[in-house]
Amino acid sequence: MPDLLIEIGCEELPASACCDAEQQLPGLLIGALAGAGLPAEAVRIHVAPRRLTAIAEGVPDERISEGSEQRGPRADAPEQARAGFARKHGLPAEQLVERDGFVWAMVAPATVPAAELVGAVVTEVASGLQFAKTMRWDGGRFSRPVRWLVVKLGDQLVDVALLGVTAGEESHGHRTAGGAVRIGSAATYLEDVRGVRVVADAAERRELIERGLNQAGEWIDPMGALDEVVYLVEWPQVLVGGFDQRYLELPQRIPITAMQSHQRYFPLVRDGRLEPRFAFVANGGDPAVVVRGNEEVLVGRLQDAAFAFEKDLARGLQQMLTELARVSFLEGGGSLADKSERVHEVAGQLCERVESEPGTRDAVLRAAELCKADIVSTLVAEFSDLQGYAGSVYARHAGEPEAVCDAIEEHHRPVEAGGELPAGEAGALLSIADKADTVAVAFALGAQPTGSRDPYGLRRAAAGIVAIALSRGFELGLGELMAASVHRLVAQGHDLKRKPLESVPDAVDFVLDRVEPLMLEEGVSVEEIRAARGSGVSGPLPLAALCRALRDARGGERLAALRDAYGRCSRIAAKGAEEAATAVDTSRFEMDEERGLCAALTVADIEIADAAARRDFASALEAAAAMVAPINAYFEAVMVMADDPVIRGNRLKLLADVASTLRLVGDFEQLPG
Amino acid sequence: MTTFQSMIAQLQSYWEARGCTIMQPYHTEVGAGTSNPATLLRVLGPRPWRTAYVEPSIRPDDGRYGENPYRFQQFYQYQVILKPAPDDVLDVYLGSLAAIGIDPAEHDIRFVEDNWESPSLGAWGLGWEVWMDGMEITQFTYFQQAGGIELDPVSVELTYGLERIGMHLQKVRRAHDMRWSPDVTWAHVYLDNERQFSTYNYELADTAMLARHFDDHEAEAVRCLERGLPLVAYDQVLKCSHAFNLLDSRRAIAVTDRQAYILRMRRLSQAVSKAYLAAQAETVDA
Repeated sequence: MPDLLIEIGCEELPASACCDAEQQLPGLLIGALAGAGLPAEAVRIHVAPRRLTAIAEGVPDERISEGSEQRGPRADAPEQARAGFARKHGLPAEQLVERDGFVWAMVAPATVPAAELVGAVVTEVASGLQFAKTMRWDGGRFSRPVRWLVVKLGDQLVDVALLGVTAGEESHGHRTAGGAVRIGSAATYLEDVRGVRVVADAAERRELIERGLNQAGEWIDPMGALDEVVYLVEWPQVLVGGFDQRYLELPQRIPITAMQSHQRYFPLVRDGRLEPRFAFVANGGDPAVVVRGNEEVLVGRLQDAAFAFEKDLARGLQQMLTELARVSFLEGGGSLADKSERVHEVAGQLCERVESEPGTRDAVLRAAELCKADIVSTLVAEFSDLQGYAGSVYARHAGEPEAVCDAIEEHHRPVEAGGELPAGEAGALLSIADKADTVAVAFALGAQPTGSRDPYGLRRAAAGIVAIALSRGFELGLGELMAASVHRLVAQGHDLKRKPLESVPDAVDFVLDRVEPLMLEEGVSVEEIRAARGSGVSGPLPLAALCRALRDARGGERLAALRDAYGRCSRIAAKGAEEAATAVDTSRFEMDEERGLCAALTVADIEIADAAARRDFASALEAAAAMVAPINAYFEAVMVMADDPVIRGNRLKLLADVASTLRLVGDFEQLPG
Repeated sequence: MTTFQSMIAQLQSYWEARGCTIMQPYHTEVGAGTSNPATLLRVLGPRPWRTAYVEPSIRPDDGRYGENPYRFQQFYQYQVILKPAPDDVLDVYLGSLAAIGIDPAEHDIRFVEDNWESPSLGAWGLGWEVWMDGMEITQFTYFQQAGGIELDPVSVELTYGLERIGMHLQKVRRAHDMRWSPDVTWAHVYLDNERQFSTYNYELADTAMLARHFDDHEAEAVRCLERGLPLVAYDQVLKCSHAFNLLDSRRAIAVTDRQAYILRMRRLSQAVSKAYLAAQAETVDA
């Protein structure tokens, strides 16, 4: 059985497109081959900047289909329908057979050589690729223009054309040191292109690069450049350059950022200290020339960084602070000075709520005043990745306490979903206060995300609040924090676009939405999340605790009984809402079961509130489940819709109270029955 | 040694030999060679077009009073437009590097993803920044849209950063030391220019006047469009753009107003592009 080779030759693809293709190609190729009746034994994918290569091993020589009888249209159907049916099965219309009032096609057993089928497979695979961004050119639409195509089944060339190119045997090697090469077959492919200086397999390139880096010394990659570099080269060559020792006098992260951001160099360290050397991955050229060129580029960037750093130190943190009044934050949200003031207030409230130590509180409040200053620094203008870090360095230089400097550095974290969280409590509190203000203000100004548009990164901010609150067990009181932000915004003289009564709850909900993906990961179902949201809990921490309790209770008989009992109460209470009394009057009870339910409710009220306050929702669920028996007894004995409207109103009110108490541990009607 | 002027001459003859019409810089301030009508308007519509030219790029906010080794408020781009984009355009580009004395086999030449967008021109494209030994020397873009109009055929734009390439060829670290001609350096020609214009751009430019000019040129562009003069209207758009850039370097544009200014320029660019295309369709056989 032959192997199928497809190589789509492209102009240099973005690294992200290479990764997309690498992930999608196996499924696409397996699916297309299976659809063509040619199931392969295995597939392997080799992706490099100028080529997407998919190989299917052990493709059947031919597709054998057994004979069959296919029923078509009714015998009295119009001629057109009969002709179409015949065509579908590759038969002349006169060979159709009539039987039982229908037309039948007697399809003979057939054998189609794979060579006649794989052309369509190639087209399907190429058109199935999905890239985040695509471009048009003469030939069609793809991540970047396609310039050649090699398709071979065994050692036979397959005739197929797509995206402006026709399949041939000729591939192309390294752009400047390769040249053209004839591809023999899938089996020889990797060696064929290696001959023209291409390592086509990404995993092999990664291994080569890592080996080279290890030989260069102890290397670090804090910004994750390696994952991208693997797809920026076809013939990796690890080289080492150096720079003047004096740039090591800069705070460490500055030269590291100069090396990593944009340039994708790997800093070399010894005993945890930077060395004045860096490793990088070239794609060819004369090593001496390439090293010299890269050294000059880095020196230029280090010079810029050193110049910016000195300028910033000369200007000083205090001076930067005064400039914040001139920098806008969000449209209509005032200046960064206004923002700092709001963050200061919110942070103060937050510290009280979580009862932080006085020392922590002082650090948080001081850091809140200073944390935005570095946005106007020259260093951050050059290297935006250094925001926060730059501020901490300048604060340290200005003699601020270490705890304040750390909080400034950490308050941007997490910078991405799943990213590193602030290590200290002060940084964690400041981070939440900052993000809560951003979300609250954006919502108040009508700048909340719409669809996939989220220009202010509010989803990331909300996810950050959730991640920190859950990991530290913070009780946030988000509604109060956000309301404080908005009130201060108004006091600062800014006009709101939405009423706080609407925007604050929306903003809180928006943050709680970010709890959901985390819960799904923990095995909580969508229905359980909905039930927990329906309870009205207003913080990430209780929401997560309730979700987990509902998950743990899943499948139990007690939960099922509770769900049914709750449903009976809430349905009838909803129906009779207009008739219900304003308060339960115990003197109007006529039956023991009414008194029993009322007494059980009093107990449950206390126990549920108590357990919920401890975030012990398992106990809260127990307390709620204890209501099941009195509820069921009640419905057995008591006629809710009594003729006397006063009695009726009293009974409806009791059931409404029961339902709202039970709902504190979940809107059980969201759970599957 | 390759002087700055001889490097430009080599590029001119390389692209001339590949069928380009060699144009001259435009007479109105532009932030990039892309804004020159020889690019932005000529990429519209079906007519083939190949051109190459030097463009002084005026970016008031990039000035550093001549103190930075490679950042200026005026620098030179070498701009090439090939419409439609030929299949072998990357290799042809590498040939141009060889023509100015950069042997692609000796260097690490890389095409690194870079996508370009100009909100005020309603234009975007996909392509690369070209790296030579880690240094960005060229922007390479397949134009997809200009003036809000989908382009067919797709043009390719090459924009060389001339000072950077020149500094590399001459192995100097500051543009100041680069030989413009055998006897004259860049500093000799431009250092005073940078100092004076940086002072003007950051400290002196009359912001009230510039805001007024923006409004006036915008109104004039509309009048020109009403008379069916898109080429004249486009000059007015460029003048708006330069006024905007100066206002920006004077920090006279609040973040809240920036978007509105950009939108006004985009609307004009789109109207100009539409009118230009319509006029071109009428004279298609001329």
